[in-house]
Formats: sequence, structure tokens, C-alpha cells
Amino acid sequence: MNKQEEIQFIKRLRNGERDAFKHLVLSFSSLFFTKAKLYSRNKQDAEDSLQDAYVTIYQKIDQFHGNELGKLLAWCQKIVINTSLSKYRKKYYSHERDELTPQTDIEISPEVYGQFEQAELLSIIQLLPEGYRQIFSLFAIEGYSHKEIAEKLNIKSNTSRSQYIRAKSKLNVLMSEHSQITLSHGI
Amino acid sequence: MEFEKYIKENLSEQRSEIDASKMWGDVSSRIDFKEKKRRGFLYWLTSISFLSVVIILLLMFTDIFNFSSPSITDHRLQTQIAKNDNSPNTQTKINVSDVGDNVFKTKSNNSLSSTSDLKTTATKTLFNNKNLITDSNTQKVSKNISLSEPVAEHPKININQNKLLLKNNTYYSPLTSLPNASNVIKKDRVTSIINKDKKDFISTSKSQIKDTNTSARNLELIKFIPTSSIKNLSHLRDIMLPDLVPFTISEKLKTDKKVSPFYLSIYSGIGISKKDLTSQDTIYAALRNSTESALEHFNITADLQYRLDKNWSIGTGIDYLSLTEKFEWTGSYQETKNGMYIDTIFYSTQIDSTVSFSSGTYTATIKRNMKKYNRYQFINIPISLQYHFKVNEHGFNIQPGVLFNIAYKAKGDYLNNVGAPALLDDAKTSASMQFQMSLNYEREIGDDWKWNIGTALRWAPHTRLGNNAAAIESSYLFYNLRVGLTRRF
Repeated sequence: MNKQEEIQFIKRLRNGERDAFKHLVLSFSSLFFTKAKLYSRNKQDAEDSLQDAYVTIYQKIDQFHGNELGKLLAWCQKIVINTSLSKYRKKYYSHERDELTPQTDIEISPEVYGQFEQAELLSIIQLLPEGYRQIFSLFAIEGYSHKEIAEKLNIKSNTSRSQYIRAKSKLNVLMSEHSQITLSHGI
Repeated sequence: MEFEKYIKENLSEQRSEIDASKMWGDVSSRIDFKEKKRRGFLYWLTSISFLSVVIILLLMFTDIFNFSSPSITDHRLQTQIAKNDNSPNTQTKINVSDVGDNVFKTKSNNSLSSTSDLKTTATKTLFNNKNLITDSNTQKVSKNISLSEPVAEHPKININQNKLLLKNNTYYSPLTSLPNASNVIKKDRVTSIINKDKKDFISTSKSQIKDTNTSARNLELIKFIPTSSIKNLSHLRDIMLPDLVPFTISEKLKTDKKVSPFYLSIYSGIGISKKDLTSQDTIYAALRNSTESALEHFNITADLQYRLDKNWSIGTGIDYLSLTEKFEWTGSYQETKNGMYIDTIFYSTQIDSTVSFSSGTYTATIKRNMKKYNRYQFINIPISLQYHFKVNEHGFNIQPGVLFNIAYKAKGDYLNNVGAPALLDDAKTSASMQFQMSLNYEREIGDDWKWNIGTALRWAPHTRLGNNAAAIESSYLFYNLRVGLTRRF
């Protein structure tokens, strides 16, 4: 899609054209679904969240003022993440926030994560407990700081930090396990 | 941090397998794909405001155009200057047969030098004395000049030292505002006119002419009404009598009424609004921006102004602004409550009480489809400066101001930072300061009243919503069309 086509596409979206919105759903659902899964409890919840997000995107497309597809997709992804998070985050963290103690961050060796394809790595992250997964994704994939995550999830920033350390540690274990399984299957 | 870098670079754009066609089927069944309609009210309001501004500007520029380019091209002036050498009153007769040049030349008799410039004389005579147009000053001078126009009634004017009066109470003044007037003056060969007895006309010079022109402009109470165009004047004479144009004396000069410096204005406006929420938590800000949209606003202002001088005034008063916002959200959220509960609770529908009861903390999933209208109200103390100016009889003022908020109230719904609906009533809110710039057109109604129409742009930054919400700030932009009345005391 060249620049002119992007502008036209966004304009048609703003006008509420069915075909343009269909194109958005068919072309970019796989991208948005990745985000929805990272912040949802399970696949079904992720699909529900993505549906809700699409409805919100359609209702609020007037508020998107850019003319670039990249910015449109980033704006849509934020709505997907928010919609997914808004369902569960309060309940989850109300249970977890008090049981955390600070830990020391670990460094995962490139030999460990380098052996996985991107899709595999994503699947392993999906195996993390929901709370770990959300904080890990917000920090490592979306690039939020712990302070921002704390404000977003209504938790303390130390909680976010320690949750992330735990998530990373857990991910290291999962990757090691997954690696051994792969090796054993390979033998 | 190598690991984090690797994850961000490789997974942020990762796609997952999903049945997009099924997703489209589900989504399309939930969306009514009618072409989005424009918001009629706001569309028309904006259009009307824009048109009003255009009309005001057109009026203004049309007047300026008319003023600077008089089109009296058909006036063929036949000027008579009657001269009486033996009396203080001197008359010179001027016949005009040709029209076309910027200089209207004719021969005058010896009461005026052949190189004399009657215009110069009249100019100097007329404006040398600031009391020249007061009715009380009727001192006679020795020269009478009569002008005649074939088109209109031949007016007869008397020049005396202080006054140049026509029959119909109009006066003659130099054509100071015509574009070529100064050029004409510069081309004049004669810089002085001396009468025999050296009483009637005062010697002058080019520089003095300029000065008198300036003085004429500074006589702000005089309205100049050009009646002839230089380009149609004959080049047969040295005396540029048509450069003298009639003017009238404004009401203020006639009445000499003492004006009170205090004015009270009431403005009422309606317009469109824009809101932008910002936060360090950009996702939450995006969520709020996606669920809230500012609609129309209404405001009313009472403003007491003190006139510092002809152009400037300061004012203060009280301002009320009411803003309507739309809150629209579809989704579900978890809510934890203490109390008696049963196995499953459906909040938005009904409570099934057939299952056994228990007490304690329970969590319910609540699905909501909300579309509500929020209301924000501001009460402000405005402090403003006004600059008044006139273009002919059209009055305008520019009014920059600052508004200090003294009360702020919000009522409605919003999404709190855990993504659940909450009431604005519960949130501590504050609005500090607003900035406003307005442009108004004003017309007098009688001596003491004016009506106004104008447009105002107001910016309200740093309106904070907070305590139980994530740190987030609203920035509002209000644009309105307003009308008002002003009373002088």
C-alpha cells in the first residue's frame, strides 16, 4: 500500500465504509490477535477482547488524526491492549500485589532464547501465568517503564519490577524445559 | 538487557494465527455500517461562525476600499471664485472646461497670486486653528469662495479664518486621504498666498501643508466625506479647489457630552469544543480519548469594563461555561464486592437467587454497553484587556483575557485506571486557568447601548482529573460564536 493508498484507506475508514473496515479486520487481525492473547487469560478471551476492540475502533476512528498506516496500526493496537487489560487486571493484581518480594534480575543467555523461532518464543511466553505475562509483555514487548506499568495496572512500581523479574525467571525455566523437550524429541 | 532488546525487536510485530473471516463475521454483525453522518449541529455552527467572520471582514474591507478610492468620476466641477479687491471679501471665478488630469488648473485674478494655490491657502486657513469648526467662532475673513457643480446644487462657501461653511451645514476640508493628494501638493509651485492686506491668508509651505494634513487627520472627531476625485480634475488651474471636500462634524463634537468610562457587557455564546487527554500512561490516555468526546458548550459572561482611553479598556466580571461530553464504551470488567452472594451474578441483567447464599467477597464480571452524556461546569473570573477600533462607522474590539477558575464541577461517567466505569462525581477535579481571545463587532444603539457579535477561542490547559484516577490531564479548546449587549453608565 503506497502513501496515497494509505491516505485513501484511512479516509474510507473514517467515512465508515464497510469494505475498508473489512480490509482492516482481514489484513491485521493476526497482528492484533497477538496483542490480545498476551493480555488475555486464554484464546477465547483474546478473541472476545479483539471483537470488542474492533467495535471501539469503528466507533472512535474519527479521533485518529494521522494519515499513516503505521500510526493507525499502533493506535489500534493500543485499543486492543487496553480492551484486553481492562477485563482482568484489577482482579488479578488485587491478589498478587502483597505477596511479592524483590528479587535479583537474571540475564538470560542468547544461547537459550536464540534457539527458538519467534512463534515458538511467543508460545512459551503465552505459558507464563497471566500476571507475569502481562507485565513481561508490557515491559519487554511494548517498552513501558515499570513506573508506567504501575500507573496503568494500579500497582506499585516495585511490584511491577519484582513481577517482571519473576516472569523472566519463570520464562527462563520454561525455555529450558522446552529446549530439553525439543532435544529429547530430536534424539 | 540483550534479552529484552531481542524480544522487542522480534516479537512486537509478530502475528498469530486466527480465523480472520470468522472474526469479520462476528464483528460485522455487531456494527451498523451506515455511512457516518456529520454532526449536523456542530457542522452548521462552525459554518455560521465562519460566515459571520467573513461577512464582518468583507464589511470592513469594503468600507476601507470605498474610503480610499472615491468614485465621483462624473463630477465636472465648475468652480467660481469671486473676488472683491476693495473689500475684505475677495472672490475669484474659476471656469473649468477640461477634465482629466490630477491638477485642476484655472486662472485666478490678482487677489490671489497667479501662482497661488487656493487649496494650500484654504488648507492652512482651515486647519491652522483647532477651533475652526466650532459654531461659536464666526469671525469673518476677507475672502469668499463660491463653488458650483453642474451635477448638484451649486454650493456657496465662505472661507473665514476659522471656518469653511456650506449652506447645508457641511464643511470643506482638504482631500487629505486621496492617494495622489500629496503628490499634487508637492507639484505645486506656490507655497504661499499673500493677500493684499496680508490678513486673510497665512503664508505656508510644503512642509506646513503636510503638517496641516497631519493635523487634519488628528482631528479625530471629523468625518471626511470625499465628493470628488482628483483624476477628474482639470489641469487648467493652479488652485485645486476640488481638493476641498465636504465633511461633517460628528455627534460627539456637536453634543460635547461627558462620557462615562464604565461599561457593562453581557455576552452569551455557543460553540464547539475539543478535548485532549494526556498522561504518562499513554494506553490509559488512549482509552479515555477513545471513550470520551467533547460536544457543544454554552457560556455566559458578565463583564464590567473601564475605558482607559479612546482605544483601550480593562475589564473583569464573572463567566460561566457548561460543556457536554459524550461517554461511549462497550466492554466488561471485574468488580469485587463484599456481601451476600450466590454462585453466579449477572450484573447487567438480573441476580439469580436460586442457588445457595453465602457471605464474603465475590467477584462479578459485568458487561456494559454505555452511552452517556457528561456535563462539566466552570465558573471563572475573567480579566481582560480590550482594544477598540473603528473602521468608518463600524466598531470592533479585540479582547485577550485570562480566566481564573473558582469553581469546577463534573458529573457523569468515565473509565478509571483499571478500565472500569466510575462516576466523575467521585473524582477530585480541578481546573486552574483558561486563556481567551475574542474578536467582536459592535454597533451603537442610541447613546448608551451597543450590541455585539463576535467569536471567541478559549484554551483551558491542565484540567486535572485525579485522586482515584491515574494522573491524567485534559486540555480543552472552545470555539464559539457569541452575541451580547453593552451598556454605558
